[in-house]
Amino acid sequence: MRSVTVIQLAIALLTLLIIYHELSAFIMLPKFIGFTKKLVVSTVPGGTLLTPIFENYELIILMILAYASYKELQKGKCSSLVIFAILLYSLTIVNCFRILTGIQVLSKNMKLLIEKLLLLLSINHNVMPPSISLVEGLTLITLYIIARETENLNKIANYLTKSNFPHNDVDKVTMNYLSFLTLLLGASIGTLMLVLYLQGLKLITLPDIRVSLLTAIMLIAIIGLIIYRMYRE
Amino acid sequence: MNRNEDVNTLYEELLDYYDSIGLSAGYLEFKINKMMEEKKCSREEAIKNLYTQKFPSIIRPKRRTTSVKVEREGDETSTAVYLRMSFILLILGVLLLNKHYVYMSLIPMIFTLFCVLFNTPDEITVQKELSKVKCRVDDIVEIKVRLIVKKGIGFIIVRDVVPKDFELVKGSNVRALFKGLKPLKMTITYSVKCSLKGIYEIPPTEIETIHILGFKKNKYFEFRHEGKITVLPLAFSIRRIRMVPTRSSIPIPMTAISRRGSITTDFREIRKYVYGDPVKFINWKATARTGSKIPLVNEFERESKKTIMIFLDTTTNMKYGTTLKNPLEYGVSAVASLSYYLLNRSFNVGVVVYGNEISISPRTGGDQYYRILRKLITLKTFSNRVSFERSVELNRRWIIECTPLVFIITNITRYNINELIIGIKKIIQYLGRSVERSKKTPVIILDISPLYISANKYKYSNLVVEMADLEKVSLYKLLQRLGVTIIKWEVGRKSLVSAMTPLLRLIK
Repeated sequence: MRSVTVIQLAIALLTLLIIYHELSAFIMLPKFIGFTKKLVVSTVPGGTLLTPIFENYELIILMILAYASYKELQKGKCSSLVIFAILLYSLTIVNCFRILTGIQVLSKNMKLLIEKLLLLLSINHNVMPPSISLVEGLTLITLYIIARETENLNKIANYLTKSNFPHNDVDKVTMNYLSFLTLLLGASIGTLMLVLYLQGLKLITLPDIRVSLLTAIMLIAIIGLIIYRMYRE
Repeated sequence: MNRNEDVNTLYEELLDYYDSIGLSAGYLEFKINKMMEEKKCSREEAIKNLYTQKFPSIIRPKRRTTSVKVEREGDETSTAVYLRMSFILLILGVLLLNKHYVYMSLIPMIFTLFCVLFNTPDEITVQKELSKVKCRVDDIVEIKVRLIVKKGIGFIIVRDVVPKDFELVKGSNVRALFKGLKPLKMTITYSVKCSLKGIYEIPPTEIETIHILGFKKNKYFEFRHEGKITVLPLAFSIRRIRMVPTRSSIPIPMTAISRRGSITTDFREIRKYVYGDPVKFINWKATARTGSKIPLVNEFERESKKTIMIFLDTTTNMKYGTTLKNPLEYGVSAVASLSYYLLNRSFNVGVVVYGNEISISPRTGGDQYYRILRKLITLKTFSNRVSFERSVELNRRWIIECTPLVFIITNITRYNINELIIGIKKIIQYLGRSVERSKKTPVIILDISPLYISANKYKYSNLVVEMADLEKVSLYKLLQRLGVTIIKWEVGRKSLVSAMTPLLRLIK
């Protein structure tokens, strides 16, 4: 049980670090905060007292998130924080939505609006280069899986403890579960890394993803069907 | 409360029950389906039947007054969540030409694929071994469950059901195990104490297997075992008290010298010489070895032995205390102890269980002991079908023919005193002239007083017992007028052995 709590704590800490990094990558966010600061200082009497809050807004957000995750951790949960981090991460790669501006049906004004929205969410690529962004994305997905599985493990462990199973058994089951989870995740990430490595060696190429769109959808459908059948059995 | 709500409440109570003993909701569903198949009934009826089976007594768990929303596990499986996430990311990646999304989608997908490759633990074999299948009350039986799981990866919840009235004393009968890549071979050992006499079926071993990460459905197995456990009543070892053979005021079998019958060649014991012993029985070697001033003599068994009839009360009069500790249980132990002691010394012992109308004719030998035990271990119910008086009438043949010593094992109360007096009078009548000549009647009543069992929990227990004893004293006087010897056994305070000591002191 303790090992699960330690893992969940580690997940929360790592996620908070990633959130901090993501927040610092946004270009428009400091500008927006600076504007709000000016507004507050000029309009609210004694607003200058709030200056440190605006200056250290990232830390304030992190503190709020840390408190929320602490409350979650007490219940044996930590996936909500990871989901929040994934959503925030999605905003950092929102630039890929620029493809929408290429749609002919959209009016000029609409395209302009999309451009402006994307500009709002633009990130500093010096702070977050694509390679780091990819690593963060993969880490977040992995963290989500671990978080979800540790929550399940917590449920099982609580159930076993409540049902008066020997403590030794509960500990053994927990440790085996964690080691097996590590093994499976290691295998999954390892496979992905292998794919990336082979792609680096030009053994696998994905030059034009649009060409293989139909193939990809068919592949997804087939794999989905296989998994669904296996699951039903 | 309408019918559906009622069934739902029963279902929730059963769910609570299974949860408390370490079994999940899936197991309950498995049981309900099995019941539906066996009895070919509807789901509602199956739930009701299962509920009645689990809670047969009137005292049932308190019904819930407010409906609690039960959070069901596994409404959304991990497979569904990961696949959904993977699909969304993959489709986003393909549509928006973003490699990050595609790569991110691969992790949950590969992870799910790996997980789905493994099966829920299966191909299970279970062997159950008991250290003994025949034991006595309070004996400890070691149970070994050998478990082999060949396939699959995941958790195995083992629940080896303990027979009713057995108490777990060492180890655990519920275990949570993990089956890895290698086949699992495990021996679960635990000990149980038999609390109540009876014949019990060896209960089944229930196993639930869970997929390693919950990606597949749980599986349930129930392994039934053949055979039965026989729990014999507790027999106290009554000490052998060496006494000088004299005439006693009451016909105690071991000390009363039988006037009839010659001395056999069966050796009984070595004792000190007393006046009147034949000189040929002096054991000179033993005397020289011990250096005793008084010579030692060999004593041999007499040919003729007395017949002892034991009357055991199983009427509601014995229904005091708990299921495990009540006068009937102690009475059964007393019958077992006495018959063992007497049969070992070649007496003819007959047992009459009045109330339940069970009669075992007087015989001797080891077979008779097991005959008595077989009848006694299945004795569990209280009945007022046959009174003591009627029972004496039914067995008058043995009383008239054998002129036995009668042991009555009962709990003397104001409710059964009249019945006892009438019955004893009948015994005296059947015994006839042999009794009229002596002052004492060959009837011994072992009064099992349950006051200490129930009084122990009160602050002034001694005072309570003394007050209740006063009533007993007056009842004893009524019986003693008939020449009956009464031995009071305060169960919970004295052992049977110490209760029998005053009987031996009565010998003159």
